Formats: sequence, C-alpha cells, structure tokens
Amino acid sequence: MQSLKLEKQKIKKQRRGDNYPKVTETNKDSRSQLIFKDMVEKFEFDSKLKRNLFIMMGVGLLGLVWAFFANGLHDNHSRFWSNILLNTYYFTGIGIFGIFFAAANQLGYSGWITLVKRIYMSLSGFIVVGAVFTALIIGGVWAGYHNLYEHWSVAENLKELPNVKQSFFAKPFWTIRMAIYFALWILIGKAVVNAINAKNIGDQKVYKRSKLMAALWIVIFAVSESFVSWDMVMSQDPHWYSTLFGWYNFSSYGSGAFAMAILLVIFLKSRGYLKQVNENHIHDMGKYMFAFAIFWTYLWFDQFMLQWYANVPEDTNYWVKRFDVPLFKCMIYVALVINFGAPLLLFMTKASKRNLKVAAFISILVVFGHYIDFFNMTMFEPNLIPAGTEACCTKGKGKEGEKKEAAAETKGTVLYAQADAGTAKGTVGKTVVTPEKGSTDANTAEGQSANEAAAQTEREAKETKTEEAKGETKACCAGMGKGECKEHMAECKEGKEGEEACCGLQTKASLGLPEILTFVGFLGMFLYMFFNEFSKDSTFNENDPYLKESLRHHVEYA
Amino acid sequence: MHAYESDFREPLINGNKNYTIITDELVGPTEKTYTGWWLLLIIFGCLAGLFVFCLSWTVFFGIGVWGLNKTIDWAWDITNFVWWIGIGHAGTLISAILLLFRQRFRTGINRAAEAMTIFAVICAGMFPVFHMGRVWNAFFIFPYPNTRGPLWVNFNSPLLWDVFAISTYFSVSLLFWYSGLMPDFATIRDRAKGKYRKMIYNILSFGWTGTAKQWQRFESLSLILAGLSTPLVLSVHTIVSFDFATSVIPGWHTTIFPPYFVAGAIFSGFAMVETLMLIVRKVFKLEDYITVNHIESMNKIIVLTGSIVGIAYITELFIAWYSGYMYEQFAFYNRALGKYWWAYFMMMSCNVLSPQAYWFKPARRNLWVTFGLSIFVNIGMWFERFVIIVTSLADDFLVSSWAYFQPTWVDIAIFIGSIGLFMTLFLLFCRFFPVIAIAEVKSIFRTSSATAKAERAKELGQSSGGFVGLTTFGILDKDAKQ
Repeated sequence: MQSLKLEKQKIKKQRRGDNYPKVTETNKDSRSQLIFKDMVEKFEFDSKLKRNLFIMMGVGLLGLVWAFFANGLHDNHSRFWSNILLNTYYFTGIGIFGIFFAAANQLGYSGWITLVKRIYMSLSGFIVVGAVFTALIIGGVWAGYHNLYEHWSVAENLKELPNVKQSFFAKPFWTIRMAIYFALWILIGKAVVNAINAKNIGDQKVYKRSKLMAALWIVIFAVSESFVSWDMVMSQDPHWYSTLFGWYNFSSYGSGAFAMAILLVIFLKSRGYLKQVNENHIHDMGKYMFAFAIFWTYLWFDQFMLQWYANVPEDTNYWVKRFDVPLFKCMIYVALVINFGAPLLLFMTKASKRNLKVAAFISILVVFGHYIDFFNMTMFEPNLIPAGTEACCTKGKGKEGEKKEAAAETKGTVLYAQADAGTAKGTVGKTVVTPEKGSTDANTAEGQSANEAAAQTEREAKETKTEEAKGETKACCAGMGKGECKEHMAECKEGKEGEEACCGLQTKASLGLPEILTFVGFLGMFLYMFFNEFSKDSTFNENDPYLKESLRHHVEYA
Repeated sequence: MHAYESDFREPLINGNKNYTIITDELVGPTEKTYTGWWLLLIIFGCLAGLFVFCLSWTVFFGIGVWGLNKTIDWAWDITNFVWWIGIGHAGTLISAILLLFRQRFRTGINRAAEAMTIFAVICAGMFPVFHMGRVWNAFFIFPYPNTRGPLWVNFNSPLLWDVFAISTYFSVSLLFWYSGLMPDFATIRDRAKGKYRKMIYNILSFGWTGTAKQWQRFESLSLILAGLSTPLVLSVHTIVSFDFATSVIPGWHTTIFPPYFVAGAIFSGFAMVETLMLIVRKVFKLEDYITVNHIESMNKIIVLTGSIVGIAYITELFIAWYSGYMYEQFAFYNRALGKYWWAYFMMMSCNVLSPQAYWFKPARRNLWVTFGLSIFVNIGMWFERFVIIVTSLADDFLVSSWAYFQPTWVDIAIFIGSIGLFMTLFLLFCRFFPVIAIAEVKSIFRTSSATAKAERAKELGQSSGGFVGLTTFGILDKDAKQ
C-alpha cells in the first residue's frame, strides 16, 4: 500500500513535470565524472598540419588563377566566379548542417553522439570564410564583375522578369537577405555551439539552455537553408522554380557533411585522438551517411520525375538545357552513380559500415559526388555559350522523322536565348570565340570596357535570334550527310551561318584541373577552419550528461 | 540495444514492477470485459453498419449519389482515402524507423500503432475501390495475363503505382504486426484458463514455445521486416502524392509534395496514435507503460512534423508567388482567400498553429492539451487533403466550369461510417490482443524502468542517481532481481 501511494504521488508529480532529470550539486563531482577527466584530450593543431593545409590553399589559389585566365584575358571570367560560388555554397552548407545535426541530437537526447559531437559542430568553422567569399560575390553583383546572377543583376534583364521577381531580385533586397543569413549563421551558430559545448553542461540550467539554443538553431536553419538555396543557386535561372529545391539542397550538403565527419574522425583517430571512438560510433555515423544517400536520391528523383512526367516547359527547361550539354548530361549520371549507387551497393551491410577503410573510401566518394551535384546546379548558367555545339551534329543527322523533337529542342533554345540576353559580355553574339584560335572578332576585342556597345550588339543579336528561331522548325543539319554537317558546324562556329537550331548550347564549364585545384584549395581552407575550431576545446565535452552512454555505446543490429 | 542507459533519462516503465506484474497488467485487458468497451463497440459497430449500408447504396445507385460533379470529380472520397493512408503511417514508422533510431519509447506504443496502421489502410482502401463504381470488376487493377484480349493496366499511371505501393505496405505491415504478436499470444495462452481459449491462442501463436532458436529467428525476421518497411513507409505516401503532383493542375503540380506528404502522414499518424492511446491507457489502466514521457516524445514528433508541414505550406505559397505564373498564383490565392477560405483556415490553424503549443514543456506533458490537440491535428489533416484536392479542382482553367462541391448525405455517412469501421476493428483488437507489446516492454525493463533505475541508484549510492527521490520506491521484489 505504501508503494502504491508513492506511485500515485509520483504520477501526479510527473503530470506537473516535476520528474524531469535533475542534476544536483552532489553528483556534479561524482566518482564517474572523475573517471572521465582522465580521458580529456585536446587536439593540437600543429605547424606541420597547418603547413600542409596552406599548401592545399596555395594549390587552390593556383586553380582559381587558372580558372580566371582559362578563357583568355577578355573573358568574363565566369569559370573563376562560378568556381567560387560552387565551393563557397557547398562548404558553407556542410558547415551549417554540422550545427544542425548536433542541435537535432541535442534535442533528441541522443547519447551515442557525445564523443563525436564536437566534430559535427566544428564543421561550422567554415561559415565565416563562406561569408567572406559571399561578400565577394555580392560585391561582384553590385560592381558587375561577374555574370553569376546576370538574369537579374543586369538592369535590362531584370526588366524582362515578371513583376514579382523584379522586386524579389532587386539588388538591395537580395543583398540584405544574404547578409541576414550569414549574420544569423555566424552569430547564432556560435552561440549554439558554445551552449552545447558549455563546460558546466551537467548543470540543469545550462543543459536546458543548450536545448533551447538547439531548438532556435533548428528553426533558423530550416527557414534560412531554403531561402539561401533560392537566393544563391535557384536565382541563377530565375525562370525556373521548384518547391523542393531547398530541401533537395539540404539533403545534398547533408550527405557531404556526414561523409566529411567520418573522414575527420578517421583522420583524428589515425593521429591518436578519440581513442574511445570505436567502430560502433563509425557505424552509426555511417548509417546516417547511408540514410542521407538514399534521402538525397529520393529527393532528386522526386524533383526530376515530377517535372519530367508533367512536362511543363517552365519546369523541364532546367533539365533539357543540362541534358543538351554533354558535360552536364554526363555529370548528372555520375552524381547519381556516386551518390546513390556507390553507398547502396558498398555501404549497406553492417560489416562495411564498421570497416574504417571502406567507410573512408565511400566518404571520399560522397564528398566528391555532392561536389558534382552542386557543380551541376551552379556551373551551368554562368558558363553557358548559346551557340555552336558539335553534339548537335550527331543528333541531327538529317533524319526528317525527328523534326518534331528537334523543333521542341529549338524552343528550348529560344527560351534560353531570351533569358540569356547579355550573357558573357564580350563573347556574346553569334560567335563563340576561343582565344587559342586567334580570332579577331570585334566583340571580343572590345571586351568588357565597351559595355554599352556590347549591350547594343547583344540586343540586336537577341532580336535576330528570336526572329530566326521563331521561323526555324527544321532540325539541325536536316538532310545533310555527316561530313556536310560537320562542315556546317564549323561554319556555325565561325559565325558564317546563322542557323540557331545548329548553333545550340555550349559551355565554358568543365571539370578540369582548375576546378579540381580550386576544390582542393577550398577543402584545405575548410579543414583549416575545422581544425582551428576543433582545437579550441577538448575533443569531446567531458561533462556531457550522456557521455557515459557514448563511451559504452555498441550497436547490436544493423 | 546498448546495455547502459544514462540516469538522466526518464523511466519508460513507471512504478515498482517486476516481470510478473508486467505480464499481469498487460495481459489483463484481454481477460476481462469492461462495460465501457461494450458500449463503445455497440456505438461504433452501428457506424460500421452505416458504412456497409452506404457503400451498398452507392453500388446500387451508382457514384451519382455522391456529390461529385463534372469539375470536381475527386472530392471526399479521395480526401478520406489520403487521410486514412496518412493515419496508417505511424505504425510502421514507430516499428521500423524508431527501431532504427533506437528510440525505446516505441515499445509502449508500437503494437497499438501497428494495429491502427492496418485498420486505417483497410479503411483507406475502401474509397478507391468503391469509387470504381463497379466493384465486382475491382480485380482489373491487377496486371495479370488476362483472357480479355490485350487489355492491360496503365503502368504509366501513379494510380496503379498506388495499388502496388499500398498492397505491399499492407502485406508487410500485417506481417510485421503479426510476427510481433506471436510471443505475446503465447504468453496469453500460457495463462489461459479455458480449454478453447488456450487452443485458440495456441493456434494464433503458431505454437510458440520460446526456445532460443525461435527467438533468434524471430529477431532476424523483425530486422528484415524493419529493413523492408522503412523504404516502404516512405514510398506509400510519396506515391499517393504522385497522384496529384504528376498532373499539371496548379496547386497539385509541385515538387515538394512527396516529402511533405510523408511528413504530413507521420504527423497525422502520431496524432491518431495519441488520441487512441490516451483513451486506452486510461481505460485499461496502463499509465505506467504509456507514461507522460511517451506522450511528451510523441508531442515532440508532432511539433516537428507539424512545423515541417507548415514550412511546406509556406514554401508552396512563396513559390506560387515567385513563379510569376498567373494560374499558379490564382490557385493559391484562391486556396487561401477564395470560396474555400474556411477550409484553408482550418488547415492552417489546426496543423501549423496549434502544434506550436508543444514548444512549451507544460503543454507537452499535459494530457488534456495533448488530447485536444491530437483531435485538432486529425481535423486539420483532413482539411489539408480537402484543400489540396477540392480547391485546386473547383476553379479550373475554364471559368464557365467553375463549381462548388457540396457533399451529399452518402458522402458524409461513408466518412463517418469509415471511422466506425476503424474503431470497431480497434476495439476488437484491444479486447482480444495485447495492446502493448509484452515481450518488447520486458526487453527494456532492465535498462529503462523506474525499478531498474532505482536499483542502480541504490548500488552506486545517491550521487550518481539523476532522479530526485528515485530511491524512495526502490524497494525491490525478489522477482525483479532474477
């Protein structure tokens, strides 16, 4: 009877919420806490590692310079700028996702993660660097240095957009939004990390505060990550829209963040840190990476399939354009194989997730695979040259029966041509001029300095294009033999022929050495900021109330 | 599950318990009949009868007895279908996904949630089948080599994908639910008094004896089924959303539909689990097993999924505005401020605003608030489907065909009847099957019960006990130590 009474009292207490875990003064210095103190270790960011990372950054700088001059002096340097945007966006995404994941686990009373929680949180070190590069991009928008957002950063193009977009993409409004995202991420992000990392987290009040901050971050993150994906990436082609885009981006850099965290744990373990982290933790980290690989593919498929199935030109334009350029067509498949195929086939079993070598291999693939995913998103628009493609040759081959298809493609080109007025100052016109060929095209020679003249030419060019394209229903190289077609294409390239159906899409983008080197450079910078952040404190919070669970963590099922 | 659990974690089994007490308390509801149960069974049984009657009426007179018209050719039927399918999501989510996340609170609610899933999917399936008009030809949806010439199903249609997705989901959920029940049936059998009772439960348990080999196979089966049903639970509502999103109707054709439908389904599923479990724990006195801690965890999932759904609503609105596409803009303007504004208002207030109360701990732990909000969410999620389906169709591209949907008595009665069918099945389940997974609850007894926590606290001394006053009920029976 006595115990029944007590139980009843307890239930009452519980309903009032009194039964919440409480930490008293007495258990703050309990025996168990003393044991953990022996494990406390701090990562030493030694000069050798720093030097190596600086070398990586130097390599990156080389890559950027290379990208800058890859298409000659009088280029609009779209390759350079789009590389900056791509890497900034990807690594910043990983950074904000790191805090998000730690915050979600904090809210979910997750125990296993305690030993590696700081790794996820320290991914956020890059956000500050991301802010600097984003400031550079914003400056470029105002000064007209680049064409990343030329569909609205150029005043004439902005006028052609629907009214709502004219106000949404007004430069000041866009800049303010960007500033808000980064300000929130840097300031609140820091506060969240500090709250979770607090040394006296065993204290009830401090623990509660960490949960409050975590909840705050989840809300801020949920709203800002969607918006930033629209503002930084989707806005490159303001005609296209997809409601899923924000969530899709989230899944993409989320996968990258999980892979990065696994690589970093393995690296730190190889240096003798995080001895308590064993294959059970790696297993769980791997499960998240695997789950996100599937999640990413799920969202990729949803977005693609729904637009493909409904076949609305506004939607499909995004895909048609990319599939018209061999590089992007190829890279879309590569991204799918690396980000979905590889984890699915190689990382599903328990044994593979617990094997550090396999985990490292898949993680490297995934980090790179999601780079390619963002490559497909960000590199396309700025690097596009709307004329002359050889792929067209093999496609056309004079099959009269394919007229209809080709006509549809032509329409796609027209859509693009309209949207693309003012592309690539200096290279626009009917001609694609590559400096190696030593062309003496007037437009090129004028370069960026003659903006007005260029704009005039562009407008004219656009008008002709549109008119021609409207009348154009013939397939490219219709009725021509293969050799004849090639000849025609060569003429097309030189600008002697004005047939728009043939002179389809061409890109300056490539996944060449400049891109790889730039990626390495940004990776070096990312790692530098990570280690810098990570070395500020002990490798894990030794006072975390769930530390013991993490220390004794073992996974019994897949 | 890992052996060690932090004492910071609130117990999931309250009170001073041992394995015998757990068995007694959990098998108890199957051994006696409550008057309240009879009362409820009669009420809901009558409603189920109404369901049968109205469906017969529909078959006899044709679909014309529903309120559908030329413009709005999908209305309450598909709304009810999606609503029930959504409710049918929580069960497998709890069994499979929470299992993968090692959420121990799932053990208290998974059995009832799985049962609910199965009953909800049964209710859901009725609507498309009877919307066919000639139900006796319903087997046409299966792509079997037929004898009627080259007549095949349309593999390009998401409606057919639905057939596969839902039937697979139903089969796997049923298997999962039933295989989990087997050891518990054996427990009931072992306590059974009557000869026939013993026999029936023995058959139900497939002659389970609880040998090590049986448990081993049981556990590997559970894992395989969990692995299978995790992608399934996501695919079902994804494909339901494809029914709409693959079209070109403004308001339907949007890429965010698949994940947002899944989040909405989890949201409504958990709300329904709460509605039922709050009653069940009270009626069957299971407060120690479905604790306030369980309720709080579910409420957290509700605030999470409710907010995800809210973000999706706002994203849709934003992109409709952003698109600059007048039909899209009109569809959403019409949705929020048009003639169905009240439905939109219900949806927004019930689904997005009301769960925000759960940001606050006192609200999460208050049973009355929880019960009220779970009903709100159920209502809101019904309106969500109504808003998506009816308002998008009502004012289509052709102004002359704009219409307003008014349900007939048959529409209304079928919907109410489906709730009757659902509740009847659930009541029968409560009476004859163990509502809480006995074996699963016992599996967390050593780690997560108040008793075990108290015992540990006693061993280690007060200092490491996270709970104040935990030791006060730490007087342990000898049974508990075994």
